[in-house]
Amino acid sequence: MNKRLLLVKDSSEVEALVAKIPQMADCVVDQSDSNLEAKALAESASYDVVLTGVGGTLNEKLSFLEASNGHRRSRVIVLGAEPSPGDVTAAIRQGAFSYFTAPFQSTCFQEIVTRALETPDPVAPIQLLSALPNWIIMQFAAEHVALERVLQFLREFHADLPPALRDNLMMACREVLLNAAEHGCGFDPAKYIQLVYARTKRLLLYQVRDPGPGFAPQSMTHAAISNPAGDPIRHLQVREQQGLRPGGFGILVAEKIMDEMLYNEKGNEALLIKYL
Amino acid sequence: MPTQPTAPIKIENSPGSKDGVTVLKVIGPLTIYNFFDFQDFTRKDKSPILIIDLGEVPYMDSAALGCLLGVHVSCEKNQRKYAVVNLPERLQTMFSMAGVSEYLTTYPSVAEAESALA
Repeated sequence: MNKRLLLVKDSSEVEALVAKIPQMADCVVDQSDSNLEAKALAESASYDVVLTGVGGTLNEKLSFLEASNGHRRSRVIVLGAEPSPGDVTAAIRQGAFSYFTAPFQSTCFQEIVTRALETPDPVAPIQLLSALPNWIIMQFAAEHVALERVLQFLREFHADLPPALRDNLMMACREVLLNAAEHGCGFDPAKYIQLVYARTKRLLLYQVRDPGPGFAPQSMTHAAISNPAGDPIRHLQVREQQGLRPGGFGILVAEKIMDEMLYNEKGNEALLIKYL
Repeated sequence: MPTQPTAPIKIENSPGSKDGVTVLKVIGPLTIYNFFDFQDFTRKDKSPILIIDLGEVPYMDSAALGCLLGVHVSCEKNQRKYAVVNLPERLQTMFSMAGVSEYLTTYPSVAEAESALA
């Protein structure tokens, strides 16, 4: 059965991005001129995904999350014109699938819309344990879709930073969160990762905690951080001998991006700091 | 390995403009969730010169970078040539941070790689 997407048509940029998503070929797309008009449509039919308007109030946009007429709850992707950390936290708390502020990063946007269409039920929730814009705590299942959603929400909290810095920070966070999901949780969706993001006038701080056994840095011969000077790919041999998948650059890359990075004694909690 | 849906990726395989050249164009983020497709392609390919076009890869993660370096190691071992071309700035930054920029054979374009290697 074809997926159904409801699009509030108030941005040519969004329409163009949606049109380029390959999955749209097998999708029924209904369009509406405003959030209010779209809400009426959403009450009469069941939509898998709703893309809100860029304009309009947050309440209008979040109203799509309300169950209506017994339809299955839609995955709502909230779009906004200006960065607003408060709106992002409200969206997370009310269960929005994702949040994007213009100008839209095409790859992330298209990936998240695709995930919203394709991810089977139930979508793992993201718990917001602290919702202060300068002190966010998110807890989420150790699985791909939750991780990608968390990264996009996190990206939105960095919307005021220069794009290159934001991209690098997201690259570091992606690597550390993936390590937590893979090595700390074995990608077990029943296990949870906690991410703390705090921001002061002078620094950005990220704390990633997983429930795994941790690791000892001195035992990481399969990671690039252990390579001798002048041989940045030595660890690849170790990984091959140990039957590990390719990789091992994550901690090194994160360390290069951040100003400080440290682990707790057990090795299952990382603290990353970037000075502004 | 994760069992969740793979992120969208497209791999186009075509002959180069010179004999013995295969051009592999990757489209989409190359990550832990989908690098096996890329790895399969590169392992099956036996052409003397493999050119990997990453111009439409907006980002890659550590796993995909490791996979790319696997191509480097394999080509050196088997005395085949390869090149990575059209590198977006974001990937260049990652390669630099990982300290592998000088290890990978890179060219700005497919044409320049073909001129240099074929």
